[in-house]
Amino acid sequence: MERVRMLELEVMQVLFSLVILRFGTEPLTALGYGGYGFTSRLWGLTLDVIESIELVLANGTITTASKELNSDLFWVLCTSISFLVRYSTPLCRPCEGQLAPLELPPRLP
Amino acid sequence: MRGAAGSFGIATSFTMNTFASPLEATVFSYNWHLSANDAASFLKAFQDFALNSNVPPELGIEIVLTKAEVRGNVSVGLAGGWYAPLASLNATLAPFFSKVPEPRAASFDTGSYLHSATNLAGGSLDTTSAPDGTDTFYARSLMTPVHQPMSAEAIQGLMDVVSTEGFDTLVVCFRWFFPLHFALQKPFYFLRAGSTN
Repeated sequence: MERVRMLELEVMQVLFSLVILRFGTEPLTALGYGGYGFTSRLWGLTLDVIESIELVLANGTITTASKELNSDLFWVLCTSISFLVRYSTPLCRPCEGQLAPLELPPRLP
Repeated sequence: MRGAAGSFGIATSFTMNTFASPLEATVFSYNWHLSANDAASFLKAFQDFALNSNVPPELGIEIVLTKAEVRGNVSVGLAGGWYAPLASLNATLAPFFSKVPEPRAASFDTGSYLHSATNLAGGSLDTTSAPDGTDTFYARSLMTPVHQPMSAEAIQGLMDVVSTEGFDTLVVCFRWFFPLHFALQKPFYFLRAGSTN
């Protein structure tokens, strides 16, 4: 199976009719490389357009990270974005209806 | 939040900036079968194009090197997205195409931005029916600073290896991305080598 195909784009399912979010180049790595693709020269990396992230901390606290709010946490999240998206169900399943949890991929090397 | 971020937490939602959609987008690809020497000249021309041409940011482009049918040759793909009217693509690529042989094949798919995204996603943007598949492969990414581009010797060495050892082994793909200019103090090329079953 030729995994590294010539023209693959991973898709972040945040689509609107008139505005768009840029895409990456690999379907399996989600935001791996930070989301590099053919539109990167025009719009930058996908991680560049993340304004904030809501997350549940290990102690159960629900919090938000952005450049202004918990900026240290935001920095950590964006620098490890490829891991982050793999385990974030809502981003991968934004559609209405059942939000079945993603199957966890095999352990990363 | 595994891996690099340790056990900080679980992301539950993202807020992201969006952009106005281009009026037209084209996904294109070309292909050549070249000897190692010609492939080296090809990559050198691509690098010169990147360094010396004032290429508009609407062009996203990469070279993809794959195994050729004959040992000693390289299959060279040039693929990309053009996020402006198709009519201006030829003029944009002309400085590069004047330096390389005629391609043996070419394809263009022009439509809306969403159409281009669907093309590049492999035909569908719907991922609600099943999780992504998984695969195991080896990949390595190298970045070449624009102020210190690959030497002719390095390019020739790369093609010599790809056309011989690459032909004999499972190494199937090298991807050479166009340099990044945005938001970076030092733009770089992005060379990615991958091996898969």
